[in-house]
Amino acid sequence: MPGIEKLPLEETLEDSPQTRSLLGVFEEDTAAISNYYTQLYQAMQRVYDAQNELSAATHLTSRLLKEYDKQRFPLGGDDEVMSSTLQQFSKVIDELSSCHAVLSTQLADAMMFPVTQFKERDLREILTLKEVFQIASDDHDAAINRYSRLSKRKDNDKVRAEVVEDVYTSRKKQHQTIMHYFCALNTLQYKKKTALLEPLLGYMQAQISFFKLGSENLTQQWEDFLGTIGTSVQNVRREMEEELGQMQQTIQEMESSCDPLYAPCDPDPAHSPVCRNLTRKQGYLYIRNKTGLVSSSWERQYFFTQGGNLMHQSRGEVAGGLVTDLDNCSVMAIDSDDRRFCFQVTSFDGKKVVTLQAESRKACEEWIATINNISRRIYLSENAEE
Amino acid sequence: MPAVHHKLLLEDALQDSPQTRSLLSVFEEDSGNLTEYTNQLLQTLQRVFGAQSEMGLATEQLSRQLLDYEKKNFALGKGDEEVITTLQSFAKSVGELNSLHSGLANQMADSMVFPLIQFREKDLTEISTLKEIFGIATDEHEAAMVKYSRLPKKKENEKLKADMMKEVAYTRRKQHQASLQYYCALNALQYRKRVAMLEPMLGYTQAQISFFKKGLEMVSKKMESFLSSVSDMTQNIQTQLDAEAEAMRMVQKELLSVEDTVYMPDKETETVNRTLIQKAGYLNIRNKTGLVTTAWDRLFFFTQGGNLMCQPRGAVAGGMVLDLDNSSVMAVECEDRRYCFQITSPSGKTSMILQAESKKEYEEWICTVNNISRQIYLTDNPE
Repeated sequence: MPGIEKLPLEETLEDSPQTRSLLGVFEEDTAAISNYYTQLYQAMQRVYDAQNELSAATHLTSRLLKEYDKQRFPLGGDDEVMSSTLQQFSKVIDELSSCHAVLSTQLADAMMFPVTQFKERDLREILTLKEVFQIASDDHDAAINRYSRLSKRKDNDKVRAEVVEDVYTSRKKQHQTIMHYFCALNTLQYKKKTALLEPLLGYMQAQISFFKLGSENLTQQWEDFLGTIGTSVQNVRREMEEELGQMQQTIQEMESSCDPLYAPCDPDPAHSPVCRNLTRKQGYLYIRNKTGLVSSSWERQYFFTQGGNLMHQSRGEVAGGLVTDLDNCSVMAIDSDDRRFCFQVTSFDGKKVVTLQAESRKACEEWIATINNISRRIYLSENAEE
Repeated sequence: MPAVHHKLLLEDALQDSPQTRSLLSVFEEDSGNLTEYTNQLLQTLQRVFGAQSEMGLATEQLSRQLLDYEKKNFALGKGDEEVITTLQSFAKSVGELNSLHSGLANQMADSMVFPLIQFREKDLTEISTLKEIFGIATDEHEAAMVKYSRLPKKKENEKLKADMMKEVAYTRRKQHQASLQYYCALNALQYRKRVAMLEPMLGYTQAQISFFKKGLEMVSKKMESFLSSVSDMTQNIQTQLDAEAEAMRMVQKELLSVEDTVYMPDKETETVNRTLIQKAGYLNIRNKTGLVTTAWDRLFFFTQGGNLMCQPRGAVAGGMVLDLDNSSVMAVECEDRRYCFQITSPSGKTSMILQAESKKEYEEWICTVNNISRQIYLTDNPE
């Protein structure tokens, strides 16, 4: 490759400042490379992390759609089509999620691994070699310094020999380490290029695989399915609009027609004739409960007849409970606690007495009449009237 | 899709029986479950959207980082042109990928996340608002009924009785109206929930299909041939690296296989070359640092023509120390150090004391300086 500069191994023994200067340039370049590479590593790490997150989130979506089944919606009875449609979507998204997982793995192997290797191995090696060389250089400097101070007098041969030995050892060590260091720096000039290109190659190739795999999965079959769903959704919308329209219309009609029904009682008896032929009736009444010797409370409950029985049901109860058997019972209007519209039902054996209050005079009379009818078993005859 | 089966009957609203209330509570429970599930689904979809957006940003950052390489002006950047153009091509492709990702993220926002948020903020919120209103209206009606049922039989204060009746009628109407709207909304919800859950799924899947189509187009043959050329380039570099590494190994071996004695500072058996007119090497130079103190610095000295130059470690170039023309050099005793010599300028004004590393170096430096001083380097037979 033209232009790649080299640190000359041949000049390492002399170790001139020029050589050190050139080394300085290489070290500066290495630091800049290291800096750039750290940022590149961060950028790639970010892509890799994003891919993992995308993969995980897609997988979660698929799972959540699958779990729609287990939700137990109380009104879920008619939801089989909905459930199976969501299952289908879950399947598509699951396939997508596995494409993402494959891409994640490929990015790990072909992009992150080489980047990490270069950072953790090659660049770190340079730093280590630099340190080792620095130590060797310092050792040599110290040794040569001691050597320079050796006296002219031929005394202490032992010390002299030791110092000379030190210079020899440290100089040899320095020579070795600097050559090792130079070699690493020289090969770095090549490695830094491959370290840039390999991960990018890996990244691109993984993307190509990803798009190929994904397209294979999202076949025409899915597009047809989506078309069907799209049409269904349109239909549901339309149905809903119709339904809503009808309901609003009904509401409007009701609001006008129900107006007279809101008043609890009508002062004019001619407007609301009492029907005395009923054998069934239902509606809200107040029931009197004795709470103590002289005290009582009145509770509003929903009452309805069922065959020959009087039932009651509070709001919140799922089903009605028996109040009393109306067969041969007696019922009459009474005064109670200075309340209007009260009547009393006494069971056949006299044991059960129920005091009730209706909403209006009409309601009161109709309840009395109806209970009388049931009591006399008119509901069993052929001319029973609702 | 078959018709929705479950409906709250509007006609039952006025009677307001417990059975109707019971059915209502089933609808309310269903709506509650639906709200919970929708929240979970929305959270998950937002997470997907978040990840997709992040991918777009990360890809953009990568593309930018690749373009940055050129601006770095690396000290040893000569010969990097091939790499730079390759990085630029990569940056372009990554940039294209980034716009795909951003497009997908936008589509997700519009057709996947937004409809579900709308469902929650509009439709589900409406249900809870209507529920509240109905609850209040019910309580008001109950309160009015309690007061009404306590009205005495005696025909006194007829005005109060009339007002009471009006209040019952009023609260009853309000409750009826509230219940009608509430039932209506709950019934509509059974349709809305289908739309609300299927539309985002439709949007998501359609966006993905479009994404993959565009992506596949992008990574067409053109990309594959580019990548294979890059792969070739990488192979080449690797081959060169291996060759270079091998060559250096050989050189190293050679250089290290020299006699060990090369590391000895003072070799007795070395021959002195007395005819040199240039020399370079480390010498210690003596500096007076105070009245009686001195320091010796180890510096690199070299001759350049008729000049003596010196370069400390860390300096980029040498600086002139002394013009050696007609200078005098001689051996000198100094501070009990061996191999010292002194160079004095012709005028006698400047002199310096230097210490060499070995006898050989000492003798050679003295000879060389002498040779230069007497301008022997200018003769026809320089060595």
